[in-house]
Amino acid sequence: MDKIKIEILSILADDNRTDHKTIAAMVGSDEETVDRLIEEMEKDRIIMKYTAIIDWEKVHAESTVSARIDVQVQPQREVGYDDIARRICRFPEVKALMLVSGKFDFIVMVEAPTMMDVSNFVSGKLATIDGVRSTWTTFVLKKYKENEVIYGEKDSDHRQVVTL
Amino acid sequence: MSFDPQLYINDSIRQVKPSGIRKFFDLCAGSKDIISLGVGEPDFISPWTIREACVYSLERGYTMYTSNYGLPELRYEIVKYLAERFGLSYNENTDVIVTVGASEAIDMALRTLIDPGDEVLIPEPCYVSYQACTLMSHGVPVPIVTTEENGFRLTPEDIEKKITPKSKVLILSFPNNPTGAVMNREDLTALAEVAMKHDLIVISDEIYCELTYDGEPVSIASIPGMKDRTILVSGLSKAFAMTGWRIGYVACHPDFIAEMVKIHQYTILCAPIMGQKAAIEAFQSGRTEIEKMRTEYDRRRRYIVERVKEIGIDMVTPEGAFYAFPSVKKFGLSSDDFATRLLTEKKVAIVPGTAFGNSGEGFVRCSYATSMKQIVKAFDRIESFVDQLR
Repeated sequence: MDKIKIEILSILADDNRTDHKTIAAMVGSDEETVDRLIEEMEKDRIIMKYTAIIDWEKVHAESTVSARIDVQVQPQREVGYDDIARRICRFPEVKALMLVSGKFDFIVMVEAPTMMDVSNFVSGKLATIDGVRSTWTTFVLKKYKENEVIYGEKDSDHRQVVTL
Repeated sequence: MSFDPQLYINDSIRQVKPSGIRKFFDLCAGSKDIISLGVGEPDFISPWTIREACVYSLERGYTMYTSNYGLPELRYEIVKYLAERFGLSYNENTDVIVTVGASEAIDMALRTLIDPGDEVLIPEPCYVSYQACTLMSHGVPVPIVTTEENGFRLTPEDIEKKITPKSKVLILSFPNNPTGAVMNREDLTALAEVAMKHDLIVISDEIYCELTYDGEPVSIASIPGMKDRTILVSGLSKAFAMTGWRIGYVACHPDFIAEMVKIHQYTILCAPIMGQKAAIEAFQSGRTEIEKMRTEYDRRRRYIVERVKEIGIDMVTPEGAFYAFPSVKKFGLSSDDFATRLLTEKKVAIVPGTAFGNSGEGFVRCSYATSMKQIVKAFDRIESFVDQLR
């Protein structure tokens, strides 16, 4: 992939609100080129979505419970793991899904309003899918770091204002 | 008779002027919303792995003196780094001292070389300590003005004009603070010829060498014939974002080291062991972090170059360090007035070029060791200030 595309991606990954004109200056290109490349990468689903990292605990308005569910499955002939994975993905409670090595096959990250909702989802929806052999649920108690951001830490500059 | 302390102060100290930025501190004090482009140190915190190495060493009880020369493991890392990065070959037992920042190394080098009246050639604008340390060593600072026209690079002709029978030392500081100028191999080769012709010792302050944006950094010590007559000074402050640790080093001919270590031994004893332990980790695992920071500085630099052009300010494109040095001549204000008014009217702190020698008049230093967001905001304010002046 072009070096310039990778540069643009790394700038957007850090701050997706950086405007295209600024990005153009940062990568030594012009605004039209950056517009075009970003549009291309959106179309190719290289850039899949622009989002924000939010400390929901500070908002209080909406409580959510997060859990990680380790799932063992029986892979199926011809489709292997993909078919089961696709079925699990469709549930809106599922925020992330990964195939992993080790004792379990999938890690499923789930979010729901209450612990009961998570529990109902696991017993009613997830565990009953054909091919799912066992589940192991771990509730998240507190988040310290997510997407490279440390929760509760402020950007503070302790340097003197002017130094030579 | 009343006691007057002034009567007891020696002349060479009296000649040293206090730093010219006190005023800006006072203006900034108590004022909110100031965006500072005035800081001469990285906005990054030392990488965690480096800090952790220090904490671990403290836990294990490393709180003692080290050898005057510094920890052998650190000297080994320094020599290895200089070999890999610049193709230089030094002996870790005889050619290196770990110092309290590059600043101490500069002071030691000058004190070791200068007899009263010896002349020290100092390209200007430049960092503030060279002139002061020369005066404190009873030497005579001879400024050589580098110009916009030459991209603030030093040329052999510039040096030739200032040579006298008393010339002994040439100080080089590239990549340069405040101009951002870089000397490539060709430029340095031309200077080396002059240095050899006039039998000059070169003190090369390479503290910003890792922050070179176009091409690989070159040390003048690696130019044929120059190693013996170059005192290479560097440190971890800028590249590894380790300013407060105060770890620098000097590498040069063992005969110079043998003399310099006397000064170091009797005034400092050794650089703090905590910083030295952290520095070992920095050399061993800090490469990726250096690259990350360099990439980030480079993006900011390119943004500033574009933005300054767009606003209509003249500037030589900076190629190293983290400073831009635009000209404010066309606005009809002195650098000091420009900087003072920008601070009071638009709350952006920059440093007038005159803080780096008289030849800095007409320029201001903008540091891009601050986040992209802040830089964008600062230049919005600079743009509106400049529009007002037109």
